[in-house]
Amino acid sequence: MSARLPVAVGTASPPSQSAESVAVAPMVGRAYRTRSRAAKIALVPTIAIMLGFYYASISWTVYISMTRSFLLPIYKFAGAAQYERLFATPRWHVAYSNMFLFGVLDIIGTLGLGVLLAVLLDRAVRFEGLFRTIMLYPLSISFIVTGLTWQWVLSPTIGVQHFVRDLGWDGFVFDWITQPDRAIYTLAFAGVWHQSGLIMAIMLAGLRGVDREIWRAARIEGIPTWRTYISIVLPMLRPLIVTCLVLIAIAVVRSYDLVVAMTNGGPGFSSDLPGKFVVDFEFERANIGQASAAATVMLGSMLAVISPYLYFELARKNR
Amino acid sequence: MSAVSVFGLSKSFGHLRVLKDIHLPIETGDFTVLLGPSGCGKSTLLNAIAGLEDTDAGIVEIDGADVTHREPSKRGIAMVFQSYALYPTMSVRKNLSFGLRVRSVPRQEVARRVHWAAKLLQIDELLDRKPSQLSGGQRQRVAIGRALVQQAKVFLFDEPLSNLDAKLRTEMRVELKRLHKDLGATIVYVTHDQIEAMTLATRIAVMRAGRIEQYATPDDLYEEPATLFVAAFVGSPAMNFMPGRLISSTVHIGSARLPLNGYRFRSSPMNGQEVVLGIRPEHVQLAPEGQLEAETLFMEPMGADTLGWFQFGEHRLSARLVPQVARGLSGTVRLSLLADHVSLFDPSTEARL
Repeated sequence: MSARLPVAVGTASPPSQSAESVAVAPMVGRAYRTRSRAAKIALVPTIAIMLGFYYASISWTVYISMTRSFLLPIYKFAGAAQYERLFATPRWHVAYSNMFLFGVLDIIGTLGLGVLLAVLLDRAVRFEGLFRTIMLYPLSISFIVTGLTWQWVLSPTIGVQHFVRDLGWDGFVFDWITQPDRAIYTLAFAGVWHQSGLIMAIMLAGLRGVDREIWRAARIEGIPTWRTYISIVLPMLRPLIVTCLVLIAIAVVRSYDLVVAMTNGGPGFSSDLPGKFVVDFEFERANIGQASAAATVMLGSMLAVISPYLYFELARKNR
Repeated sequence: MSAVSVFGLSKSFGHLRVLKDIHLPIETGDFTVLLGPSGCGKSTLLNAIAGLEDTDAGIVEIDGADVTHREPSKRGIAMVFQSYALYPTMSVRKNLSFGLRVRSVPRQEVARRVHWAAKLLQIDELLDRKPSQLSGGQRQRVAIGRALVQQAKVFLFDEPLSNLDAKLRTEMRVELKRLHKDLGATIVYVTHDQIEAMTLATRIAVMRAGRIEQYATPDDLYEEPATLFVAAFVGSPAMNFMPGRLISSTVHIGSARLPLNGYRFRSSPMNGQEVVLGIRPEHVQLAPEGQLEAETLFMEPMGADTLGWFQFGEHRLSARLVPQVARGLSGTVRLSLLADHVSLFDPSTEARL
């Protein structure tokens, strides 16, 4: 059984794979077993780190969220008390719903712009190298610098509004970053600006990998270029799009530095996000119970969004 | 009227001239094969007919209309590709129908054509599968089906069988031949495989370095190759070549004399002219009164017959032998060359004499 392990990784191997593993079995011998032992030993530190720091920390956090811990951990089980309190906190409501608003805008914006740029570059090959560098450049800047830069650019007193007024349009108003109901959109805008270059690079690599004969076949059939992209080429790149989606979604959930640098959650709490909420409660207010509960809700939401999607993708692949 | 006419077509990639003043008339209902080694320009010529490649000079006519500057989809052609180029995310049915639907062919008409093509190619049971669930041969059928539903005037095939294994290739060859016979379609077909060309074509254009060396029926090509290149490229096992001298209607090769009776000269050769004599292995026979004395080298059994190799002076000769005869053969033998089947070439121009 142990000899078959390398093929049967993932344990619940589908029928098609188990046939392969039988076919592989004859070449397995003693040498193979020694080698597989060495491989397992080499994996031990990684697995230990994963278990010790990652999953143990997650479990600890989840448990603490079900106690009455405040400044210091208390290990007496207290059920959903922290969650009741969390969902009675207005700031959490703002942060939590902001995550979805920010997430939807950021995903649609980044993916849409990234794919569009990739398609444009795929069409106009001439300045590809130059454009790719320009578009990828924002990614080399940290979220902190991105946030600060956009804070300055969007600030009514020193940024775009000020500049346009100096040109003579005295009535010009562009102060979204200072408006409680608009600030979150400026965050999404900066997020899109920062990440769409990466999505473009990934998608461009995918577009370049498409068999040229597919394009020729479509051209001979008289299928317009835009239709070829939408109905044939982009569906072929579905796995890449899913990868991009996951990358952006992860960036959305963990986004903390961008908010801190750009709006610091303000005005008021209007552009707060769960990441910032957790850090604030954990370290500034020293309320580890609330912070843990918020973190657990983030984890749960993430799993709820991602798992059906992953499930469908894996099911498609196994079919 | 010609289904396809190519006049004076030229094409360069930078300094490299891939097509040099090509003339090619293709009759309606012909199965024309463009044959040649890789890099000879055959695929470029096919792409030029399809409109997928711009040309530098020349005219392409399809069904009497000048289409040189028309988009591929406006030329009345359909094409089958080497990699099949099926749309991987669509079912077989969608692969067949998508192009028609985009061009707003009525839904019922599309369904009718898909049904007809699927029936003809025996893929009606695969219509709801994805291309990834099909074998190579089935994918090939779908690719052909996608071309058939276009109801084009001319069908273009770009090395469609080269991704299949040997057995499947033979099967598909027969299938293609049947399709051509049933539909009476005009087909232009590119391949580097001379057996494929010989078995399928009604006419073959042998290409080399951007030129058409000979454009003829398979039989003419085999029996009277126009150049040394065509003679060497077509036929398996390959033709034998020996340099000699032509003196008053007799070819002198070393000590051997081969009188030519009734050889149809294309030009009147000079007495004493240097020639290259070409003869196919099946026209070299064992005979007690043969013109050549040769040493037996080795035998290559090929099933139905055996290819025998002999050393004659400094030349190596192959002969197609009956296996039973070949088995016991050794030492010195006498070979006879059938004078009715020789080809003579001018060594300087490489053209047939």
